[in-house]
Amino acid sequence: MNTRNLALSGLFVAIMLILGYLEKVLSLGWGYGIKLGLSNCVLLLCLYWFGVGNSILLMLAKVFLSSLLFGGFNPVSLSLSLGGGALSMAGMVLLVFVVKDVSPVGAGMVGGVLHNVGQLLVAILVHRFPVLYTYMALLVVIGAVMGAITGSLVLRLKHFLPYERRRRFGFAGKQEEPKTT
Amino acid sequence: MKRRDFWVFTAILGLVLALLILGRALRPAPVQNARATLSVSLEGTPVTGQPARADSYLRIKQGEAYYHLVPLNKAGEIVIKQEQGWENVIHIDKDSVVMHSANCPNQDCVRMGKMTLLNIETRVHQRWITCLPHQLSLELIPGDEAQRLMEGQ
Repeated sequence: MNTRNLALSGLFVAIMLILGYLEKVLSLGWGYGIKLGLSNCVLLLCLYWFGVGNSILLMLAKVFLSSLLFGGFNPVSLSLSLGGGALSMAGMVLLVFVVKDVSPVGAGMVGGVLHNVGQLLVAILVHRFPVLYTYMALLVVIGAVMGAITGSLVLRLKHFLPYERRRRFGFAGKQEEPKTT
Repeated sequence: MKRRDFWVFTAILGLVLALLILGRALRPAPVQNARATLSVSLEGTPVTGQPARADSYLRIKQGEAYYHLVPLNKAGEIVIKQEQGWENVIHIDKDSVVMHSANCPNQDCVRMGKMTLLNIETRVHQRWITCLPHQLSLELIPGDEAQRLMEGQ
């Protein structure tokens, strides 16, 4: 990792923490655990920018720091965030690097859905909470909608990516394509 | 928008439909043979294994431990304190339960509102109010099911 990427990573973690805190303060919960998940948008952008390894580190940093700063380091909440973050990251990595040919909107949707699914799985399997299928369906729909929003944000932000990354993921515009002889 | 995004939409839609169908097909039922080991105190007297008759009962679960059923026949306040300093205040009334306050970070349980015998069929969380950070769940059990539970023990 070069110095530039290190500095950017630090910046991204800070942005994710602030976004997470803002969502908490604005309290978009309504008792259903519904969140916009704006930090997911930063993570998805990181995935395109830095690749898998660094993005996983950023996700871990976000989860632990946000639990330490805003969640009272509650072990249950931490395990839920970790489960959600890990599954969401796995899904997005799969779509972006293995399946390919998926737009940031699709990847964001899968990330949003899997984040909620991961949290629910941890709650049910580890903490033995009741299985509520209707609530799960609601969370999947919300995850998809919120993920589509964060994915569209990444679509808007993609031109900030370095040129070689844009080319790799097919984001580079026609006018940027190097001349082929 | 790319070609495989369509698969993503379809998969998510399929998942939602499957969950909705499962939610319709499987009615929530209380966990059987769960031995109650703890008891709350209502107006200074502990609620034991032989509660008063009521149309509905409240079952509190903390971590893996179950509390004795609390009859929901009059207003009262239950305070669940845990050694980590976690505290939940539950208000009960005839056939209704609400998480009045909690010192948990996300406050989701407080926002889940009042759960009554009438609205547990239509609530998103059905017959539960859960406080995930404190590993606490409140389950409202209709009288007939509760009777069967108590006979089983």
